[in-house]
Amino acid sequence: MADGSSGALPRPLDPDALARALAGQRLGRRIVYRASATSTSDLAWEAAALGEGEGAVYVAEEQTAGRGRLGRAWHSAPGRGLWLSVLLRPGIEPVRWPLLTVAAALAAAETIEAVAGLPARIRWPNDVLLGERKVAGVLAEARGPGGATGAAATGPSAAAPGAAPAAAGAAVVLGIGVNVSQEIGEFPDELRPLATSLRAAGARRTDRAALFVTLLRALDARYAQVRADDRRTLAPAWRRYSGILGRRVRLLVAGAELDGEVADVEPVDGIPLRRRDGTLKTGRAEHVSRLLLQSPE
Amino acid sequence: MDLEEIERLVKIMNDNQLSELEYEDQGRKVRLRKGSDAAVNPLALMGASVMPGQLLPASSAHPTPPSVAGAAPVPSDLIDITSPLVGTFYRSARPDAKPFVQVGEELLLDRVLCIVEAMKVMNEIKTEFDCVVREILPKNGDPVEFGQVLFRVKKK
Repeated sequence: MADGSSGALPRPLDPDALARALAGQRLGRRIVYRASATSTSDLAWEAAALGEGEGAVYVAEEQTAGRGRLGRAWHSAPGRGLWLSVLLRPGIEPVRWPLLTVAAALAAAETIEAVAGLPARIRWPNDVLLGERKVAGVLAEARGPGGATGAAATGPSAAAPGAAPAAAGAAVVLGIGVNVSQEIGEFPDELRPLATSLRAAGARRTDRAALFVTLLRALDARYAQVRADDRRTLAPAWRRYSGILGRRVRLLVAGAELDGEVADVEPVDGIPLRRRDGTLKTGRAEHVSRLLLQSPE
Repeated sequence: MDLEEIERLVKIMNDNQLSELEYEDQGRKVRLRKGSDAAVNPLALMGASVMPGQLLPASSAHPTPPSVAGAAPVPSDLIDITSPLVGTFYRSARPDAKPFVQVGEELLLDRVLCIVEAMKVMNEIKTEFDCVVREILPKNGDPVEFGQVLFRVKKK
């Protein structure tokens, strides 16, 4: 327990020391630190609008309006976790952006395993679990125009109707939250049965600076694999850290519910489910809007 | 003057069996003429950089707008906004929030139209120009494909 006794506020992060530890790598070339922010992703988007380049990282001790998927709040208490956002300009087609979630979730799981010594698993595609409880989460946000086609379309994306819209320079903000030192009782009532922190789960270390640096190094490496479309490296890691492989799940795929046991996980191709009658049915990854883990039978 | 007005003029021509009609409004003139001798591609006439949605923009630098050929069907002035990725289409930021946009709504540049989510990448699709929403094709929560038309808008 490197951060001292529970109850005391952990030492604030030192952005200069973090930047020195990450010198020379793509992600973390600039670190912006705030005691408090609405959301670190808001900081990243403000900077992106002013032309900030890839690799800037925004970290805050506290988020007053941290966000989860579809507007759900992300509870981020002062000093109790690692709340950060990374500004990316991936230069890859938007159809491959889902791999950014893969990179970030893998990096978070690898970091928790390496620093805290705990067996982190990914509840497809963006939650990191210790046991059945969520300890970290990832949310990627992209903003930009859609494609535009039609007789009256203008702009670069109209040059070849049906072609991939121009993605060069498009920004994606990866938000990552890790619960580090909360006691279970500190979580809001509705999260208490569902959430945990590294400390509460018995981590051997909860040093946030070590977590930050390890996370950014892991993310830098995984991100390079995504840009290179190196699925031969990503896929085995995605299976290794999967928290759903072999589990019974219920998927909401394209509006239809699908039950079965997860036969495989592949970063993009989808989730083949073994159904009760022994047949396999694959839910297309991008069309899975919800995944519920069923209790083991 | 916009395409709707031109369409009305074409209707007047058809209703009254006119072969030619000249119309002037606030310093802008349009002359419509039926017949094969006028079968000129309006796009070619106006230069490739001017698109049908901008046939007669209010701030047009053209002192005399060129003729609009014939009474053939007016080219669609609607722009399709398509999905840049495979995912799930959401019309609002939260299930209980009001939709980002409605049909008929006038939108300025950089306005969020929808979210297409794929593996927790929340992709906000924004307007690239001022426009009016004419059609919203998928329903909230529908799966969408790459290149699928999400919105039809009219450029302003």
